[in-house]
Amino acid sequence: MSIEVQNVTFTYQPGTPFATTVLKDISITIDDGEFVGLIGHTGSGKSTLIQHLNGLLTPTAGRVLVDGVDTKEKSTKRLIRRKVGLVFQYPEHQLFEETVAKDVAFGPRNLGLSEDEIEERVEEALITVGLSPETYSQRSPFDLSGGEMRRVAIAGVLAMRPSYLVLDEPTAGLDPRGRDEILGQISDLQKKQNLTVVLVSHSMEDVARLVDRLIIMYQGQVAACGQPRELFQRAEELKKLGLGVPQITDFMRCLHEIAPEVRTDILTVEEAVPEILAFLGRRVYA
Amino acid sequence: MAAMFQLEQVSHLYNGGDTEQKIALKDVNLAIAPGEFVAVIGHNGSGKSTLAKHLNALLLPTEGQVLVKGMDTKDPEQLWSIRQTAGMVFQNPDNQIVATAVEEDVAFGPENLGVPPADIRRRVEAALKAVDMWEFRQAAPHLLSGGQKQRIAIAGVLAMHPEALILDEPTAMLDPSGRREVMDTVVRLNREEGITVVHITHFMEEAVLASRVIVMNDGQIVLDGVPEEVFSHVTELKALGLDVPQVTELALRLSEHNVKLPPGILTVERMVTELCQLKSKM
Repeated sequence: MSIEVQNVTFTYQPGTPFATTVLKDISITIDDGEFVGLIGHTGSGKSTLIQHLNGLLTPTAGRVLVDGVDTKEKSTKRLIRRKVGLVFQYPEHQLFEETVAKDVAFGPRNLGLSEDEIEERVEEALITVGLSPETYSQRSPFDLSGGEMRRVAIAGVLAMRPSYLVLDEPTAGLDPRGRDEILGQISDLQKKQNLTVVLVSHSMEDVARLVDRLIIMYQGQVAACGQPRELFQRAEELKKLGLGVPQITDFMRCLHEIAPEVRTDILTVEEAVPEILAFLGRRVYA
Repeated sequence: MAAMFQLEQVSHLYNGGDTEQKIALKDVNLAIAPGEFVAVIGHNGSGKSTLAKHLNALLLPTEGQVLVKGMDTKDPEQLWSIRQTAGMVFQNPDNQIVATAVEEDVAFGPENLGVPPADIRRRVEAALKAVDMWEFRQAAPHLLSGGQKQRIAIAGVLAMHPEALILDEPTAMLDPSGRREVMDTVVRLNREEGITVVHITHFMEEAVLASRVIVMNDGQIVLDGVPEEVFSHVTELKALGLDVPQVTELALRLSEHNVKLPPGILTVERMVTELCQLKSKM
């Protein structure tokens, strides 16, 4: 089971003087159970690419296969949308119902499920995003804080029980605690339920500690692809692509220039501590 | 010298939709001098935005008083003068742009002030040059990037010739390069033009650029000092749900292993220097 993007090119307003090609011959595979980070500066094509993953956009050339099914196939569109859950930027702007429970139930209800099944899914989705159903179900989504609204919106997508979850900057505008809570829940889901996750992010620190694999977009193409540990060693290259590296990785690189024995493939503060202790000649206790 | 902003025992109560009242600010005392660059951090709901909105009379204190260069924000006669002294930039650039061409958008403020046309032209030119967007003066704002739009919003405020800029999470919706563009502009305006800056943010790497950092929690100021001092309170900041720079956290973790580093290390360069000094002493 996988999403396969094969030689995809996408042009907005083709055949007009305004034609803009925003994806150029992209080929990537998202494997079952993977946690993939998608990074790239604004305008690099990230959002256009993820809209291809559930058939909201279909390629001008090339094809996208979700579990072997072509997204251009009209008869399977609903199936693909159900399999690939897409959480847009600022998804709380899409909340509309009177109560949290009704809002989360909107998707499952459209699937024509029974009331019992809907109720079960709503409850499960709310628990997953850390909102207790007893406290939140009957509240108006518009009386909640920004972080809570964001989680209700994500619960709405989870209630569809997708196999793939694609999130476009799910923590934009949240404070550090809200950010850590949401990312922690996504990471848990990915691990415990073997959900495949594609995370679009501007935070190098976040992707460095979370994802298995990084895809870097630049000018509509895949500029690089690989494990964060490997990619974040290529700091100069990333800078040229309008990106950076986590501060801790940058620090280890700078120290490495003076002290070549120091490792440069460090991604988190936890990893840096024993390295620095060794650098200072301190004994490291496990 | 009179303070740019003086808050005396300011409290603010919001009336929620129901009967429930929410205390957003509790007995806040604060003085900000002309030319300061103050970063305000705190989690969502800590009162930072409410505080910012008191600085140019968008909100009025329920109790206490706010003086902007000595002008009381409760005095309706002073309102125009206050708004002209302290201009505000908000989070979403798309909600702040009103015209179809960049230069017209920037001219909107001074036009409303009744500035003569020739003077408006000069102000628009100076403001767009100050944010490095002069070459885009004829562009349609909706075709610009987020960072560029936010700089246009700042230019629109600058054209009013304010003495202070209040920025309410201006970089929250931008990508890393857009954030850098906006922060470079803000830092330059503060250093070169002497404009007082009050910058509200969730990004600690932006707060370390300021000359003073204020931490809000539960409607009160809980920490106030130079960045080196404030960020040395790693444990307290984490307990408030806030971040510290990764090298600052590294210094704390190392201290748990008896590695003695001076408090308040915020930058990569400083951390490298301190560690090399420490090693050479061994």
